[in-house]
Formats: sequence, C-alpha cells, structure tokens
Amino acid sequence: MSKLDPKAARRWAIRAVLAAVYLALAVILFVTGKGHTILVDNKADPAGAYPALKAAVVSIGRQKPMEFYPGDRDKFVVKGQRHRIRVKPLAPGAQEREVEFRLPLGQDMTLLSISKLMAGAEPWIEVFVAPTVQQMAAERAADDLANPLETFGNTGP
Amino acid sequence: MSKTFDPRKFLADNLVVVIFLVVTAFAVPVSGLSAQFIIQELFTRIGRNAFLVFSLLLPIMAGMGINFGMVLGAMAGEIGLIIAVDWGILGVNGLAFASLVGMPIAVFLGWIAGEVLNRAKGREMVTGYILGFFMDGVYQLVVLYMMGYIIPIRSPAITLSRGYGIRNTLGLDSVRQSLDNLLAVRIGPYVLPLATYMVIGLLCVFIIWFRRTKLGQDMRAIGQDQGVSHSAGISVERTRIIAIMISTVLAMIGQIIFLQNMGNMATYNAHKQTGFFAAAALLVGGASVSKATIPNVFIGVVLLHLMYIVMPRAGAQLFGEAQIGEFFRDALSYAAIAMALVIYAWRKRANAERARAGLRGGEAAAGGVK
Repeated sequence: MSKLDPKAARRWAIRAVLAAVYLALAVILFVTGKGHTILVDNKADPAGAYPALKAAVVSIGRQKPMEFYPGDRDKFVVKGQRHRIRVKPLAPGAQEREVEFRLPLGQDMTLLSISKLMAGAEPWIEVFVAPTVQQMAAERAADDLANPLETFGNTGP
Repeated sequence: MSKTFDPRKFLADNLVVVIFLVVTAFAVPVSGLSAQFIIQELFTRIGRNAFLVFSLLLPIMAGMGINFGMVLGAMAGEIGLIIAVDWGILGVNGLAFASLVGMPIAVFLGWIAGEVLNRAKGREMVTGYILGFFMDGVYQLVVLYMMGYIIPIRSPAITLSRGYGIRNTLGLDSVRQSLDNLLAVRIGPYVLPLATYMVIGLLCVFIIWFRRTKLGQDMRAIGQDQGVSHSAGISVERTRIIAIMISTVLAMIGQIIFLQNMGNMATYNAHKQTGFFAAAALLVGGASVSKATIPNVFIGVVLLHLMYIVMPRAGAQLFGEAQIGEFFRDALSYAAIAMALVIYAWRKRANAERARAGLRGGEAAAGGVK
C-alpha cells in the first residue's frame, strides 16, 4: 500500500476541516435563522375546563406587544427555537406570567394558547398545520395514488 | 516631460461617460424630480447594484473582457434564495444561508465557464453571453421541473399549483431588505443602507488586496500578454479559470444582495439582464473591455442609474409618455456597450497601426492610444 505524501495528507485534512466548517456554518444559520409562526390564541375550552382571558397584553421576545381579548387569535413571526412569552392580564390584581419555551425545529407553525397557559392546562403549545396545507397534501396523495407510474418527463402509460 | 491636454484624445477616452453626462444633465431638469428624491434613489441603487458590477473586474484584469457569463452566478444566487425561502430562514441568516447554498453551484458553474472560455480565447465575451443563454435553459429545467419533483421543496406557497416547479414570481418577504435594514442610518432626509455599503467596502478592500497577491499579479500579467505570461511560467489557463470562478461567486452574492433589496424575484427572468446592466454600468463609468477600476464601478452605477431614475419622468414630461423614456434609457444602455466595444476595437487597430509605423521608422510607437 502506497503511503500518502505528508503534504497531500495535510492538504486533504485542511480541505476536510474547511468542508466541515462550511457545513457547520450552514447548520448554525439554519437553526438560528429558521422562522416560525406562533399563533397566539385566547379561546376558552369548549368543555369549560378553562376560560379565555378577558384582556391581556402578550409579547414574545422583543417583539411589539399585542392585546388579546376573548376569542382572539393573532400571530408572531419569530426566528430561532428558544423564546420567552410574557402574558400580562389587564384585570386588576391578576398576575403576570413569563415562560420560556422551545419550538420544534422542523415545524413552521405552532399554536400557543394563553388561556391554557394561564390556567396551567397542558399542552399549551401545539404544532399547527394550516387546513389548506392539509388539503393540498391530501390532494397530492390522492393524485399519486391515481397516477402511480408518473415519472419525471414522462406521464406514464 | 510635460503633457499637453489633447481634447480629442480626452473625448476618445471618455466618450461614453461624456455622452451619458450630457444626456443626464439635459434630462434631470426636464424630469422635474427633486434633488432629494434623486439622491435617495441613488443611495439605494448603489447598494443594490455595485456588488454585481464589481464581479466584472477580475475577468477584465485577466484579459477576458466583460464576463457576460456572470449570469451563471446570478442563477446560483437565485437557487440559493429559493432554498432559503423554502426552508423559511429569515433575515440576514437567510441571505447568508442562500450564499452558502449558492457558493458550490457558483464555483462549479464558474469552473465550467472558465473551461469553455479557455477553449474560446479571443472570443470570451460572445462565448460567455451564449453560455448564459445555454445555462438559462438548464436553470429552467432545474427550477421548473426538478424542484418539487426531484429536489424536495416543502412549501406549497412557492410551488406551482401542479405540485412541482417554482412560481413565476417568488416573494422574498422573509429576507426582504434584511441587509439594507440591518444598519440603516438616517443622515438628514436620507437613509443609507450602511451594512450593504460595508459589504461593498469589504469587497473593494478584497479587490485591492487581491491585485497585490501573486495570483492577482499573474492575472494582470495575463491580461497584458498571455504569451509572455506563459513563457514566464504562469499557468495561464488555470489563472483564467480562477478569475471566472471568483467572478461567478461574486455575481452570486451580488444577485442575492440585489434581490433582497427588490423584495421579490422573477424566478425565470431575474438573471437574464444582470450581465447587461452590470456591463453597461461599468462601461458608462469609463471602463473599457481591457481596463476597469474601482472608481469606474461607482461612477458607472451613479451615472447609469441617474439616467434610469430621471429618464422615464423626462420622457413623460417631454412626450406625455413615460414609456418613451424607458425605451430611450434601454437604447442608451445598449449603445454604451456597443460604443465601448467599437472604441476598444478602434483603439486596438490604432495601436497596431502606430506600432507598425514605429517599426517602419515613422512615428514613435510609444505614443499609441492606451
């Protein structure tokens, strides 16, 4: 077996390190820059387990605070996985709550219920899939079943 | 040795610049636009376009003329942006991620372009132009058919209704003006995208540094005489390929900066005119096919875009039709490129004639047109 020239070995090692750094940088940018939509929801439990907040100011991270009234749903678009939500009920004497949470990396949209959060009900944060996306996925799945032989550049027999 | 001012030589050297100055000087008052509006637009457009124009400098230095093949880099940048938007990466992270995705594609395309141009020595510009058209077909194949089919695309918002292929217009809301707004500084009535200017400044520093390196010196030597450079032991073909690769990578980054400022992307057309506008800006700035400097870039971007800003309004004021101004500015931009090419050919012939006259013992060859 021929021995690798030390110069060439060093060169390949440097290249491998550079490639690893490149990939690591891409991963860091992805993880820290991935956008998530948080739908903040202030609805009461249909079964009556917890009520909606009468009025509350909600802020996530350094974003502009928003006011929520019963039945409201609004969105915050955030970057990265770790965030802090602050819910400040406007009722006199009500206690403010601040919670840190982590979003799943692969999910674009999550539903955060402040009424559940304030009532201590779990889970107050859930993955949310928009109905249109669900519908599109179902249509595509049906289409794939109907045309199982379809390939790129050829619609099949 | 004292130098006397020769107006004919000065005009011949700066004909394109002078024509643009005269036309713009006429159009600015006619347009009726305020100085504040024009200056703000110029600040924005310098940030948007200068990086792209800079990508043309190195191939000119290496004697390869204007790299019309820079559209290959622009396509790589667009692919990077499509992936960044699909993966939902926001802000400057999205731009950096798009650059990382586009980088290997740009390097690969630059290498192909360099290899092709090495086989078409002396005809680099037209070859690069046609190469751009060819690669546009490949780009369409990838983006229109493979994305969403072979290359996974998660977001239904950016795919065509049939389920694969990217939509004709891609909204870049996730990265829109993220670099411009990263460090937007207000000076009086003007807003300056300082972060974008810093990136352009870094590129200027890189180019100045690069010209002093061994590789930069090699490129300049090749630009002056390939035969002599080869005899001196410089690997001409390799150096030319590197020049085109760097140019393609810079064009990729330039296109990302350009598109983040625009805020949306014409998926199948955004890159088509990139080479043309960048070349026009450089030539209007006083560069030639064989010589271009950093000041040429800034002068060119300012002059060309000053004309782009005022001409539609001037057309509307003069003829009651803004479209006439649009036609006029396009015609002038093409004329700038044509004129620069003609002047370059004329100078080359004039120099050859002077050299021959010098050999015959007539006028000294040293006085040739440079």
